[in-house]
Amino acid sequence: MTEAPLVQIDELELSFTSGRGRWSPVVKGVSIAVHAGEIVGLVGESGSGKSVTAMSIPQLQPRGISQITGGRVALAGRCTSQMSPSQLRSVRGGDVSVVFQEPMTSLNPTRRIQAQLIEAIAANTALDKAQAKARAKTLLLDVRIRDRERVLRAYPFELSGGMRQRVMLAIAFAADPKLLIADEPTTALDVTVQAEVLALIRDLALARGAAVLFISHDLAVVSQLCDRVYVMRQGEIVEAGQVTHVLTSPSHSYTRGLLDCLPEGHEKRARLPAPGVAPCTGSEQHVVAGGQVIALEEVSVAFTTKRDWRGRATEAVQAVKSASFNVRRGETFSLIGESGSGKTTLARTIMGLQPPSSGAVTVLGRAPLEAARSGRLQMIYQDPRSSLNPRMPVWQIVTEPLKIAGFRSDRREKAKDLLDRSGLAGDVLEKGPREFSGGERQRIAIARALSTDPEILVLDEPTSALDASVQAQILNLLLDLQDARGLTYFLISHDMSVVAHMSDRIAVMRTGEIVELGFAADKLQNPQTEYLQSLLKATPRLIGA
Amino acid sequence: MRIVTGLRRRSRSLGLIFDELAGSPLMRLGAVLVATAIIAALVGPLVAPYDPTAIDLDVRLQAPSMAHWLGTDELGRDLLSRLLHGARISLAIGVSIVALSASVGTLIGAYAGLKGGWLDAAIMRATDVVLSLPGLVMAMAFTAALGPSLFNATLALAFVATPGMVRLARGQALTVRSEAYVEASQLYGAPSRHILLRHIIPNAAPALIVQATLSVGAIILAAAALSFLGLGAQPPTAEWGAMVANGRNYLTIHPAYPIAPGLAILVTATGFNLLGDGLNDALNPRREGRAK
Repeated sequence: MTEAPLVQIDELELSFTSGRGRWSPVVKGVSIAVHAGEIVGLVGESGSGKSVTAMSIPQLQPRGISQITGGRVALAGRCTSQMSPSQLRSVRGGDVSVVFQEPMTSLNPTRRIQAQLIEAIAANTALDKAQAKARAKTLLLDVRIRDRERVLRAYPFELSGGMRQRVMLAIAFAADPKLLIADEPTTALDVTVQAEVLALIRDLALARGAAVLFISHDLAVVSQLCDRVYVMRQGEIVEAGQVTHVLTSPSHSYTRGLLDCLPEGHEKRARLPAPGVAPCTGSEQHVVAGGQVIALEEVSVAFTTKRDWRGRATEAVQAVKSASFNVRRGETFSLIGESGSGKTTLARTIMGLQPPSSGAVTVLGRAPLEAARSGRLQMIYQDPRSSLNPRMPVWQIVTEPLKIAGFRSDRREKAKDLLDRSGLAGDVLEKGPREFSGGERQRIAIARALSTDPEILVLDEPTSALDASVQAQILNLLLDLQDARGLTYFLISHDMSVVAHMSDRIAVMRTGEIVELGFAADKLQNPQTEYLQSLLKATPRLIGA
Repeated sequence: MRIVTGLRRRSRSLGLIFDELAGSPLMRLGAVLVATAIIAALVGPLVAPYDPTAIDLDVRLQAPSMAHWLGTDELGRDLLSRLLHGARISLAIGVSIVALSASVGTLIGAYAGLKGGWLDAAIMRATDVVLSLPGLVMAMAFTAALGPSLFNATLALAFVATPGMVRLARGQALTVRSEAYVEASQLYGAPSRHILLRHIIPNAAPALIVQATLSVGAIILAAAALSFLGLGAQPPTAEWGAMVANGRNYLTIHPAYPIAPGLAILVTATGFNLLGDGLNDALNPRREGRAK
């Protein structure tokens, strides 16, 4: 392209402070160009500085704790860091719009969608109220919302995540921006909804000639949406170029590593290459020959949503509808489905946290809660930030189940041993969980689960909150532990590539019902139901990989 | 070893507090004011030039002079000495009331929040009853009924200060209760005592400490008010509120008499408020992860 780019970031340097007057560089000489009408991806793991780089365009980097120490950020030839507050306001509302990951926190929960849309329209145009309302409807039409009257009257909490993100896009496009900054806009969404929202972003941008700077940790998503991509690592751009070129022949070892550590393209159960791990050890046949350890018979779970004046249930939602299956010793049984399909409820029933309203659950021949109390059944949570008490040192966290069971002596040594086995060595016992990265915290959670010598681990989206390279490490650890100790895994995941990589058998859930059940290899190759087909089709795949 | 590791564990919170101290002049001012009050309470009685209760009718209502820096009261007692002794009483009352109401309130509130159900509802309705009446008025009524004395005033103020702490602790407990680590702990079969002491109270502590610090100022003020009304400290005890009460009769002829103890109350209460505000900023969990 010969014309001047719409966004020109030159050698941007930006520092964050941690207090006490110390500043550490977070963005180190980043140069990015986005041309008008172009869709550009900015990829990196958490902490790589990708969000703050993008936010420097409308000067929305966190105030007070960050400062630009060098370089230049220009929008349509004008340097935004030298703009006056009123100029910046017109940039933010007009030329640049931003869509964030979590639309629930971006929308005001106390105001109806209509009011929020009209506010965005009124801020940038001179329309009167009736005209603004008409424009709001057109915008909702543009973002492909069908029942517009209901959505306009709704409060944000009454809408689904995908619907909220559409509304955010409508607000973002209200002022016909030249640039849309989309910061992980589909990370919190189900795969099928994600596919729709991605298509919407692409079509809207094309139709209106807006450029998109798409920030994501997910190479597959970027490969489907973007024309060009920048790969960021620790505040530096390590690779840039056409998406197909970067993904098929990455020149930098970091990009290669990012691509390589995805389960996709590796043999099942193969140890994934990850930083600090020896390359692929090759797959091995996983034979399951054990008896059943979890048995569900016609299990239904209902939640009461309305009661009459005497407190009797008059309305209920069936979260799980007569689910029956067995899990055998030593296998990995995965439950897949979209959010709201009842898979977490079913897992909680197996843990004994949610008693079934009918049917029977037995775990290791006992009631679930008894199995959990005995320590034979353990759980790993999705978010290791909330599953570890921030006010306990690591050794106490890891050995908490032992303490509760009455073991008081040698807890530190025991903790050290467990952490070693979870791949967290060194002088960590006295540290608090906040001093660790997400992957390390998940290792701590795994060490805690291992403390009681369990036979079954329920894994609730164990790698969803983690970066790809860390996910690879945790998956490797789980596979190693399974091989060494014959553990049984009950895995919940929405990530098809993780499921395909780990599972012996899968069950597919949809609105509380198990619609498919069988061997993973078989089911994922030949999905019987339309639902599983659509899930597999919507899963973003790397182009060219 | 244990102490050292304990210190290291706590150093993070302490670090945050010192960061805030370095960055916020108002919190520094609060810390200085509180430190002044504490030093006055500790060493004041030792350096006080006179016995605070020694009556000397020859030098009644004297203006500030070299012999009596703040002058004397209507019975010829040295005001500076009374002020210094009063610091000990005011601080002791403020801190002990807050310690009592905070510890009792935390236990009750955290337990109610953890358990829920009818027990929670009953405790909450009980706090509603106490909170629905003006605290100072109720404390006055209680003290009057029990008989005016410093001890009874302390009890009454602790009683009316507790429901606020109960509510705060319950709210914190409700938040912490839904964290995955509490659920995990319950899965291991942890008893309520373990969850309360290991999970809920440690995580609720920052908010409770802030609230407790903030309320020390208000409590000192309330205790002074009770004494001012003759319900708290009885003569001849040197207490700031009682001193203001006596001194106001001589405001025109001896302004230093009521103003000095009034200023002492103001300074101490303000100090605790500023300190609590600063602690709130330092220990606010939302600060974390802001630098992303």
